Amino acid sequence: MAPEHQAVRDLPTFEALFVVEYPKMVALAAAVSGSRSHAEDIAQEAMTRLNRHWSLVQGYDKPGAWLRRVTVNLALSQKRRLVSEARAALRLGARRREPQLAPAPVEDELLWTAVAALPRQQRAVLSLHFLEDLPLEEIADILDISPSTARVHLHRARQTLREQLSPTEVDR
Amino acid sequence: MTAEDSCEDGVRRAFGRLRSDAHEVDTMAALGEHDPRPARGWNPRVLVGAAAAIIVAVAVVVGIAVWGDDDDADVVAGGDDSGDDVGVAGDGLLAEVTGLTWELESGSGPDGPLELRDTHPVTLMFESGQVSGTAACNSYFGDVTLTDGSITVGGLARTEMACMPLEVMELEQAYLDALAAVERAVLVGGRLVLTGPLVELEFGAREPVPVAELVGTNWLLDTLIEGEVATSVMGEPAMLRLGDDRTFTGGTGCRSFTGRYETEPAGLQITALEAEGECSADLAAQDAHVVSVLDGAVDVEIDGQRLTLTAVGGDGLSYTVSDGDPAPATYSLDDGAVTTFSYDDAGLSL
Repeated sequence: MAPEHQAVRDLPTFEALFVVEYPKMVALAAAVSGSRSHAEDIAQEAMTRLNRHWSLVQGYDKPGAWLRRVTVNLALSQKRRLVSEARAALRLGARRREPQLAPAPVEDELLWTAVAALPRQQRAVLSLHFLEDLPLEEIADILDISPSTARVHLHRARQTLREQLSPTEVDR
Repeated sequence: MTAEDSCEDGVRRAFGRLRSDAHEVDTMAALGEHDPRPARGWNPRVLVGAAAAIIVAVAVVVGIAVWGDDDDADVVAGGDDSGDDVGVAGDGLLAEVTGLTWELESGSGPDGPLELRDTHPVTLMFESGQVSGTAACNSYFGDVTLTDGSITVGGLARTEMACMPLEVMELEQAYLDALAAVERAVLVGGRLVLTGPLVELEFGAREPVPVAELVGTNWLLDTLIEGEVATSVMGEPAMLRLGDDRTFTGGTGCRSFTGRYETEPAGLQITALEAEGECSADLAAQDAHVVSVLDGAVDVEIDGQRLTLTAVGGDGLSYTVSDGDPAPATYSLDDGAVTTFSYDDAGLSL
């Protein structure tokens, strides 16, 4: 088989990527937005945009990076409330699924409050680092910042969390 | 375990619990809410007619995206498929608009006003029966017929670069959708206005910026580039002038230097850089940055009146053409303190 045919055959399908990435985007949206109740709407909107741009994005080396950037931007955006409302409006006539993402455990509430108070970029870097164990270069690529800037954001986020959370509050 | 380790473990465990919770979400139900068809505006499409088929073939070969919707296909089908007489010789409007770069100054489409962005201009050019330009992010081109104020644009194709924030891509899509739907063109007071059903695009003619010559121009350094961070320049005017004898002179803001250069396909090879003078402590880093960039191979990019030199590691120097009475190109706050700025997707940071 010619190499170009091989490349075409190996392109991911939207459905395959959806199944793998959707739960990850829900978690990322929850961590970055600070809202578990909106996380699924944000992830759905990111997937909708991926679907809309699929013919373009599927050819990228890392379609997942594009998806993460969109998810982070949506989660950081003040428009997320509007997105949520727009999606609700589009579902007229359809039964709205209740959010399925469980509320944060009580023992984590203080931590998530501290995370939500971090500056936007720090929150994004921290979330990508701890949720997905991505190298800083990849995080920088997703957020369109330099690796050194990503390193600074991660360092400052950790420093802030250390200052705000006593060991007994997070080490349980 | 130190307090730091303990905190780190606690954070890691909390994120891990979130990850587990998210995996409990019903992914297949969420997938079921999606229309599996890629949405309007980005579908590969089947174009009608021989001219359209040629466009698709070219697009496949050069790796660009061809897109549109049924309306676009109708425009192509309703236009002139022969491809021989796109544009009309002797048409006054066509002659007026050809050869200029038109920049979108306002516009609206079926979904409302286009949110223009200074950082991502939208441009339009007419040349030999083709339109081309920059659609906020990507370059685009297509066929155009323009006869007696009636305009048809079809076969639009664009490159595949992705831009952030997402609003840039949305502007691009809205603009190209609008451009594909225009039906009338008129020049009003030097402004080009294209209209169609629920579409109005208003362009101004952009003055062409002369491209400065690398050699023989007095360049004034105004920005240091360190990775993603741009830093303003302090100290004395830091000039650079390349002579036609393959030598150059200049300054770092505190020291003056001389050197030799050879031209290479992508830039310059700099040798024999010698700097003399002394720098105060606050200018030492700038001095070191300038000297380190001007050492060995540098890429050269001239965009109008701006010269950017980039070293192998990515650090760079950005110059503007000096008007002969150069002032130090610093950015100062009210209290006179010089500051640096950087730009990322969160905006301009001081």
